[in-house]
Amino acid sequence: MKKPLVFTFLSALPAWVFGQSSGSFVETYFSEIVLSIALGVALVALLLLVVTLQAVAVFRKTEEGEKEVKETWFSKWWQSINSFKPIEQETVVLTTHEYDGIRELDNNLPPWWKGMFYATIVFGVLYLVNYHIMGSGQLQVEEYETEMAVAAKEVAAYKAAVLAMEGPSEEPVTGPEAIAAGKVVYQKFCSACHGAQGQGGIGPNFVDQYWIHGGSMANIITTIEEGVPTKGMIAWKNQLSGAEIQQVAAFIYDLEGNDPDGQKEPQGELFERVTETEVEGE
Amino acid sequence: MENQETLTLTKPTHAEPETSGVEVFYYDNKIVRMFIIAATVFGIVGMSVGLLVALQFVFPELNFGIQYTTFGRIRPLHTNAVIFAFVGNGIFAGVYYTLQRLCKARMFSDLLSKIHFWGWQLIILAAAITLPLGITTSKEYAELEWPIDIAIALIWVVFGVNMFGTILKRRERHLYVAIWFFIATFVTVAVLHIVNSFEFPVTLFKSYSLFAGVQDALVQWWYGHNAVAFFLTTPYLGLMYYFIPKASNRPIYSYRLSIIHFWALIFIYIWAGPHHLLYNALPDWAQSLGVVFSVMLIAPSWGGMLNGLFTLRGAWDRVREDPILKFMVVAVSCYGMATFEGPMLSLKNVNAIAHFTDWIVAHVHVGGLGWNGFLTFGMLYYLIPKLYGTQLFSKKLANIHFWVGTMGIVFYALPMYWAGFVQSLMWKEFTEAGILAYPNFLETVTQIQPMYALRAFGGAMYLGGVFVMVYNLVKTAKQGSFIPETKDQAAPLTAGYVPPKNEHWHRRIFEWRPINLLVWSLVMILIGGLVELVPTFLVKSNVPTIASVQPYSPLELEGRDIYIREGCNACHSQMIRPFRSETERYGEYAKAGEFVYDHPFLWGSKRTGPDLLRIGGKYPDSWHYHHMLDPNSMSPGSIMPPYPWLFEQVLNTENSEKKLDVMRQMGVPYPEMTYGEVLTSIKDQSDEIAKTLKDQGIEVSSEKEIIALIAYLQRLGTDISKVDPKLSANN
Repeated sequence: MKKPLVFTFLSALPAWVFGQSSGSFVETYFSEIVLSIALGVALVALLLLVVTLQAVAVFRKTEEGEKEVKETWFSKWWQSINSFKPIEQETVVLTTHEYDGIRELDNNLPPWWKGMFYATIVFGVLYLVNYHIMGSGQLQVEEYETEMAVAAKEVAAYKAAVLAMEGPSEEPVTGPEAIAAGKVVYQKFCSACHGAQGQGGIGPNFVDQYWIHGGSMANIITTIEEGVPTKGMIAWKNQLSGAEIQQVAAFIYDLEGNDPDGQKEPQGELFERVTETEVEGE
Repeated sequence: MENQETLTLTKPTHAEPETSGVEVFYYDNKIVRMFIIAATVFGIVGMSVGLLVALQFVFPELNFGIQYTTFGRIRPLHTNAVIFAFVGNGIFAGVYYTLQRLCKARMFSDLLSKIHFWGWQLIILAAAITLPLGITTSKEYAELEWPIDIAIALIWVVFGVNMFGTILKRRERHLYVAIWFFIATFVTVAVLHIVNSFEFPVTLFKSYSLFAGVQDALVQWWYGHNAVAFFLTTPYLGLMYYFIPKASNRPIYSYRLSIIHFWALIFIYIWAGPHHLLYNALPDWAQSLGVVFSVMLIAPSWGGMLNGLFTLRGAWDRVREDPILKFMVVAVSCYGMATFEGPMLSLKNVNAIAHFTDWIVAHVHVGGLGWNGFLTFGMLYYLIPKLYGTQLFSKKLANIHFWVGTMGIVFYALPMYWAGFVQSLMWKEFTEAGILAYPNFLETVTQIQPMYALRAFGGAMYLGGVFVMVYNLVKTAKQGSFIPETKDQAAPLTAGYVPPKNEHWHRRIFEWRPINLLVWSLVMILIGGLVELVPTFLVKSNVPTIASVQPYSPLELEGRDIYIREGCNACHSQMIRPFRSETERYGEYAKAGEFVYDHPFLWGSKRTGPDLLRIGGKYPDSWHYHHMLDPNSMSPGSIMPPYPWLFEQVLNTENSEKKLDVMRQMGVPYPEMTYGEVLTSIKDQSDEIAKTLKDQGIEVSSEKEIIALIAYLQRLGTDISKVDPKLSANN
C-alpha cells in the first residue's frame, strides 16, 4: 500500500472532514448527506436483524424445555404489526394446495407492508404531479442553473470578504516561502508536461531564457490562468486558487538558469530579465 | 390443452373429475447434475476472474502486460461468467429439478434438455474466447457479438419449449407460485434479449447497435436493469419458493402475498430501467418514471422476502442447526437489503452521490454474492445429498463456508460503500474560493485504494468459501451413489376440469392455465417497456438536434472501435451530468443531441478514471501518446494499465468502407465514398496526427492503432463548441 494504515481509516471519513475548510458543501448537500447516512443506518439495521433472528433462535433453543415462549413487549408488538396468527392456530389459514409436499397458508398481508405499498404509490403520484404537471419541482437543467447562480453568489461574497480583510494585492507573491509552496503545486499539476526539474517535455522548458508566451511574471501568471488551449495547455484558473497560481508562477520564475538533464531545446523568443541593480543603476 | 374451457358446460363443477388410474414416471436427475456441475465450475471461474480484476485496482501490473487480460476486456468476462454461466446454470439446475417435481412429470424432452445444456455451455465458451479478444458490443451485460446473440435466442427458445412442454403434460392441475416466476422469466428475458440485440453486422465479429445515443442508452438500461430483475431475481424467487419450504418443512406463509407480489413485481420492475440514467441526457419525464416506479418496487420486492422469512416462523430453531436454511436466510435478507437500497439509489439526490462510484459496485455485490450466491449454495447443499441418496459429508465445513462467505460479503461491501461515498464527496468538494478542492481526479482514486485492497480481501474470502463447499460436496457425492432417475407416480390430468366457483379468483383464472399466465405476464411487462421506449423513438423533441454535431471521420470511427475493443467505457464515462462539480471539472454538461451518431452509446456506468466526454483538445496529441504508452508518465500513481500493443499493431482498415456503409444505412449522413476515398481520408488524417507528434518530438508510423485512438479522443465532445455551420452560412 502506498498510504499508511492510518489513512485507511481516514479515508473512511467524508472528504469534507479534512477538506479545505469549506462549509458550503455540507450546506448545499445537507439533505443528501442526511439521506445517505439514513440509508447506511437502515442497511446496518437490516444486517442486525439477521443477527438478531439468529440470536432469537439460540434463545429459543435454550428454553426448549418449556413449551410456551414467554410473551415480551417485543413479541407482542411483532405479532401485531405483522398481523400474525399464532402458529398453533395456523390450520385455520391452511389452504388445500399441495405441490410436491409443499403446502400453503393464506395469512394476512402484513399491515405495515400494505401501508408501505400504498405510501410508495402515493409518493409516485405526487412526484409526477410535482415535476411534470404542476411544474413546481425543478427539472435537472433548471436545478443546475440554480446551483451555478448560488455558487457564483457565494464565491463573490467570499472574495469580497477576503478583499475587505486583506486589501487589494497587486504585488506578485515572491520569496522562498511562495517558491516552496509553488513547487508542491508544480510537482502535482505541471511536472507531467514540463518535467520535474522544468527541463520540458510535452511542454517547453522553464530553465532557459526563451519564452513562447512572454517571460515576465505577469505573462507567466496569465499563461497559467488562461492556458493555451490550442496547444493543449489547459486554463488553470478553475482548478487552482489565485494564491496557488502566484506561488507556482514564482517557482517557475525561479527555475531560470538551472541546468537539469534532458533539457528541451529553447522555444519562443529571448526574454532578458531586468535585474533590480540595473534598475537602480539607471 | 386449453380447449377444456369449451367442453365443460355439461360437466358438474367438481374440483377434480374421477381419475382412471395412476401412472408411474421418472424424474431426470442427470440433467440437473450436469447443470449443477456447470454452475459450480463457472462459479469458480467467474469469481476468480472477479478477484483478478479486483486485484488490478491495487496492483495494475496484474494484467501481466498483455492485452487479453486488461481490466477493460476481462471485466465483462467476469460479469458474463457470474451472471450467465454461474447464476444461469444455477437457474437451469434449479428449474429442471423443481419443475419436474412440481408438475409431476419428467422433462418434456431429454433431447431438448441436452441441446439446452450443451448449447448454453458452448455460448459460455464463445464468450470466454471472444471477450478477452476484444470482440464486444460494449453494451453492459450484453457484450456478446451478434452470432452469439442469435445462439442465445435459439437456446433460450429450446429452454422455453422444454419448460412449456413439461408444464403442458403435467399431472398436477395447478401451477405452484415457483412456476409463475419461471414463466415470467422465460417470456421477459426473451423480449429483453431480442430487443436489446438489434444490431447491424459489419463482419462476423463486429456489429453496430441499431439504436444510437439516448435511445441506445434507454434500451440498454431497460435491458440491463431487467436482466437483474428477470435473470437474477424472478427465477431465484421461484427457487426460493421451492427450497425454503422444502428445507424447513414449513408451509408457505401467505398465498395471497405470493399473488400480489408476483404481479406487482413483474409489472413495476420493467419501468425502473431509467434509474440508471438519472441526471443523464435522457428526457426528464423518462427519468421521473424510472424514479417513481423504482420507489414503488420496494413493497413488491419485500413481499418475496417476507414470504420467504415468515415461512420460517416456528422453524427458527432449525435455522440455527441447518446450514441450508442459514444460507437461505442470509440470501433472502440480502435480497431485502438490495431491493431496499435500489429504490433509495433511484432517488435523484442519492443517485447524484452514488452514480459512477463504487457504491453501485457494493450494491450489486450484496445482491450477487448474497442473494444469488448464497441461495445457490443453499440449493446445492440441499440437492447433492438428495441426488446421491446420502447425508451431507460435513455440516461443520458447511458452517465454515457459511461464516467465511458471510464475512466475505461484509468485507467486500463495506469498503466499497465507504469508497463510493468518500470519492463522490471528494469529486463534489469546492473550496470557498469556488474552485474544486480535488481538481486532480487521480487524488480521489489513490485516496480509496486501501478500500480496493480490502474489497479484494473480501472477495478472496468469499471465493475461499466456495472451495470449501466444493470439497464438501465432492466428498458427499463420493459417500453416496448417484440416482440418475427418481421414481414417482400420479394420476394424469383429465379433460373437462371446471374450477369450483368458490375458489380464489387467481386459482380459477390463472393457476390451471399456463398459456393464460404466459400471455398476461407478457402483457404486464410490455406495458412499461412500450410506454418508455416508444415515445423516445417517435417524439422528436426528446432528442433536440444540434446542427454542429457531425459524424466521426473514418479514422475517428476506427479509433472509436478500438476504444470499444479495449473496453475503455468500463472505467471512463462519457456523460457529464449537469452539476457544478462536473461542469467545472470536465466542461459543458452533455446534451442529448451530441450522441445522435453514437452507435452504440458509450456513456459508461462507472468512473474509475475521469469522464472523457470533453477530452478532445484538452491535451496535445503527444500527451495522449505518452499516456497510453505509460499512464504513470503523465499521471504519476495512475492505476490505468499501459497499452503498448496499440503502438505495435497496424490499424486494420479492411472494413472501414463497410463500416461507413452500415452507418449510412442506419441513418448516419456519410457521403457516398469509394474504398479508395475512405483510405485516403484515413491516411490524410493519420499523417496529420503523425506530423503533429513529430513536431512534438515523437517519431511514429501513421499506420499504428494509437493514431486512430488519438484521432477519436481528440474529436470527443468538441462538436458542440464548434460554430454552427448553418448559422455561419447565413451570415
